[in-house]
Amino acid sequence: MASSDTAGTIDPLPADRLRRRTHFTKRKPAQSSTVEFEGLFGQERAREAIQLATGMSAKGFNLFVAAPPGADASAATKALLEKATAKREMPDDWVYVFNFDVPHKPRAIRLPPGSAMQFRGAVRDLIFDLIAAVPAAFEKPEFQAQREALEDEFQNRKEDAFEKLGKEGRNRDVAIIQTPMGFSLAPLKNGEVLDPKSFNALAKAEQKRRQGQLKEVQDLLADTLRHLPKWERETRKSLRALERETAEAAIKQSIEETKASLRELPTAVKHLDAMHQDLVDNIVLFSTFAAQSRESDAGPISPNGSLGPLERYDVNIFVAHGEERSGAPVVEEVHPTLANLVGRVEHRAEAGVLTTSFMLIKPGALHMANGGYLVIDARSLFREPLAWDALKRSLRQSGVKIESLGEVLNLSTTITLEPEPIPIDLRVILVGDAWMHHVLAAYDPDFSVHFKLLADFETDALRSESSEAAYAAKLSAHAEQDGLLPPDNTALERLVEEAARSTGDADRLSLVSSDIRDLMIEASHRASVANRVSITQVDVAESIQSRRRRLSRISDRMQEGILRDIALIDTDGMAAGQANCLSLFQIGGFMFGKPTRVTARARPGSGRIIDIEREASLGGPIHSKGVMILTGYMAGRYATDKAMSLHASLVFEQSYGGVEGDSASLGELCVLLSGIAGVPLKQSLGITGSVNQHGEVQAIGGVNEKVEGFFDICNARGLTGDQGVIIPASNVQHLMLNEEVVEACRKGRFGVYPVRNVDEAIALLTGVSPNILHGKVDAALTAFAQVISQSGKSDEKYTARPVADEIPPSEPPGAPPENPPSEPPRAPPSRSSVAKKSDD
Amino acid sequence: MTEVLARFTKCTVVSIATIDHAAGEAAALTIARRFGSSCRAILVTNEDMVVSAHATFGHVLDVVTGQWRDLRQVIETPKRPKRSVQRIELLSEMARSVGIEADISVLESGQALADVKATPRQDLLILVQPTDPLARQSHPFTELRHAALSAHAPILFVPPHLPTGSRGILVLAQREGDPAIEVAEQVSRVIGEPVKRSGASRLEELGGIWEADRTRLPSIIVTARDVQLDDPAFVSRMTLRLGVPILLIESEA
Repeated sequence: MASSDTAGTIDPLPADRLRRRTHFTKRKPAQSSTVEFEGLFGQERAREAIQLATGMSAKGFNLFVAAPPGADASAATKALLEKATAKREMPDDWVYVFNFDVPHKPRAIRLPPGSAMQFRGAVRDLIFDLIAAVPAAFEKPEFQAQREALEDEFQNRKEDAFEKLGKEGRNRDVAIIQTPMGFSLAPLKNGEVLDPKSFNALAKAEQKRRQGQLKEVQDLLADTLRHLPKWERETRKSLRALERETAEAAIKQSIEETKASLRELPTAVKHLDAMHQDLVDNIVLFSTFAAQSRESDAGPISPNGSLGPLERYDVNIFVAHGEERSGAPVVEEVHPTLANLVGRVEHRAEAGVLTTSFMLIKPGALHMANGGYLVIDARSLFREPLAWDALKRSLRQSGVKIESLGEVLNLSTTITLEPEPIPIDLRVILVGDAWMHHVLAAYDPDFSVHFKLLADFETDALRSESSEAAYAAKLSAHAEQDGLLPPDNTALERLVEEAARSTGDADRLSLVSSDIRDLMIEASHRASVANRVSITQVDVAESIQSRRRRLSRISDRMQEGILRDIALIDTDGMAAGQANCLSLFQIGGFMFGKPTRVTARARPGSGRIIDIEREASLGGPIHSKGVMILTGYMAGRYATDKAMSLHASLVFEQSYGGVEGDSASLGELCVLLSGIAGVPLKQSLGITGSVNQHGEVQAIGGVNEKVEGFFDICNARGLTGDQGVIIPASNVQHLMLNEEVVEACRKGRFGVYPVRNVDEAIALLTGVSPNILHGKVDAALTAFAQVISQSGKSDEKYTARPVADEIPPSEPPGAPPENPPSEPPRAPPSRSSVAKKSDD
Repeated sequence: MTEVLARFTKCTVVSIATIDHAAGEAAALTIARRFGSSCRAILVTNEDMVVSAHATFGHVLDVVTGQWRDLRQVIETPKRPKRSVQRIELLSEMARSVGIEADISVLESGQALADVKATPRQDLLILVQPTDPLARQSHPFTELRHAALSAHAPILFVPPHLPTGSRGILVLAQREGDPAIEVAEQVSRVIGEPVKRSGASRLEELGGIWEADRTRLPSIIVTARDVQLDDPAFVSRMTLRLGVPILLIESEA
């Protein structure tokens, strides 16, 4: 229990305790040019995880970087990865080539780094060489003569067979008759066809003999015709053999020379062997190519980059590592769609038809990062259909299979390519929020299998001289990167202070740098407009004020409501059972404080303190807990030897939204004691703080905004020197008040009073010794007990009619409800109410 | 031999109407235009033979399927007259495109044979060669070739495709003063290509030479008819095999 002896001894904090300054004037901050900028400043824990990820090769040790938006984690991680991997071995190149055995399954070939271009160059040289050599070989008179000889042989065979047939027919006095639909037979006499009349005139025996002859020739004709396809096949076979021999002679030397030039690439040489065989089998493609080239009057490579009919011999450079970089790749995929991750097979429109080939297989980020690191923004990844599943599948199989969205969903039934999957060995780094990590770890069993490492980024770092200097160096580096004017020392001081202010803690620096970076960009703009060569503190201060002005429309409206006495807030005089507690609002990332009148009424009862906010379902659970703590304090302080015969109610006046947090509990306790004892409280003081059952005051959040919120009201009405704010002593370390408040305090026109217990707060608020107040409270409670005892009536006697339903759910500030509530119904507290206002 | 050429007052192109010989007919009309003569074209039909075949044998071999079918389908097809008209129209159009006027008639084989046999000495008979070897063993072509060879007029056997370019006129002569030499020289003056004298005197001697080097093939081969008449079918075959028109003239001009 806090002592009451300290009453009246609390002095306002000196001005230098209200804002922790940064001074670079005497100690120069480290500049970006002299200190290596480290993207992971203050992130030792994350750095360790990233270094572990880069150092390990075990499967599954991929990394999840948990960082708040604006922490610049992707860039910082990427910078660290690139530094770590620069000296690592460069991964292999990959090319896709035609599969001569299974054409719809292109083959993937692994080549040493930097060899893909060499391989394609050699193959293309070979093809260009053959484009000239093959037609020349087939145009040689020797080949033409051999081919014609084969064709003539077949023709002669046919001619001989039919000549023989003709002779056999004539020998049997049978003519072969040509008709429009084929060939027929007719009997001859003296070389002329017998007409039907003459034939009928023949003796029956002769007719029969002639019919027999016709039948014989018919059989001979059928037999001759039966041989033709066989002879034709034999001729074709011979022709093919001749072509193969010619092709072999034309290409062999070129192929062997190419193989010799690639002898250090065994996989490439193996492909050339398969290509050699296919060239011999499909040598006709060269004549097709020549014909098309003549028609189009184009070079060997068409405008779309294709070799036309000879494309099957080309090489698709899939992943190549040239001389432009060294070490393992670090790839950041900013748009991680399924196709961008696993690659895709593109199509081209030809004569109204979509076609594809192995040359149109395009790599995804997994291929490009193979052998290195792939950085993906987790928020983007989970917005893309099937991308997460594809990533997990690839990590599980240690290989990438190129599939389109249509294939995965079985929407496409057309025949397409099935490229041979490429094995992968890489480290994936997902960058997301901490909550994403928690959700994935809880609900996706695969996540912990594939992402065993967590780099948990800090949101702030301890503020010290060295960290301030490092932070300033970081800001200078950002200015250089962003092409801004350089910030001078005064600007850096203000920016560093603002970085501390944004954490709500004077002793820490925010590592979520985007806001400070944006502030510096705006300040640079102002400096440019003012024709300054560097950013100064004036530019930074103007930018801070301007930003606040842009965001403070609602705050200003609330303040206006108070100044016009629509929202009742007194800043002078004294009143019993009434105090100015300080609330914190957060709207769209902008935080501001505002005083709220809290009142208490007390009467005899059965020891209950009614939290009207809770009863009206406007109070959150933590706020309700704070009020319940008051009951504990009251019981421990006043009812250890008697029953608590009190019925009191507490309310945030003119509050029509939700209330959450316990930062008003100190103020509520003071108001309650004041109400019971009838001792008035100074309305010139605002109060914030949480209290425990022993009366000790505990730290709260948003102390700067709350103090400034009350100051703004007082300042608008005119500072009297009596005004000020009571805050928990443990919050002094968090003070980073704005210059206006600090200046007013320096001049003694406003005060910030730190208290450690409720008695110190009572002393400040009442101006009397806390013991006097406690005595009055004790007396009042004794009197309440006597009233209860004498009347013998229960607490229900005093219960008013519930009218909570008449309260509008949310009214604008300064617009009181038409039917002000009296006592709310005894409804259970609601946890679903939206806490728009926080007294935390 | 100016007299000989002076008698080429008319070229008579003879082709089988039964099936299409568009390429050969175009070649025949082209060469007729080169000789600068008036032109008559005879398309030979053999409906009487088909009727006889139907009455005595009754089947027709479909060369596409290799199946024997009832010949009645050919006899009774209503398209036959229409087909003749189409053939005349096609040949007329072809003559116009080649740049020659042609008097075209469709004749039954009996009449056609008679006309061919009666072709005057000063005319030129141009015989279109069927590319199908079975067609060349069939009636009416065999009869037509026989009739042409029994006529006094020179006969030009024409392949479906003429050699391109100026390749010269090759003459096969058995002896000095062979009338083939004189005719070749006259043809040379008309078509503007040089005469070349072959060391060979018979067609069969040429085959082996030219098969080795077809670039040496001439535009026309001129030879005496009696030298080559051992096997008339062989002349047809060589015409197609070499792809060169062969002009057969009578030994005694």
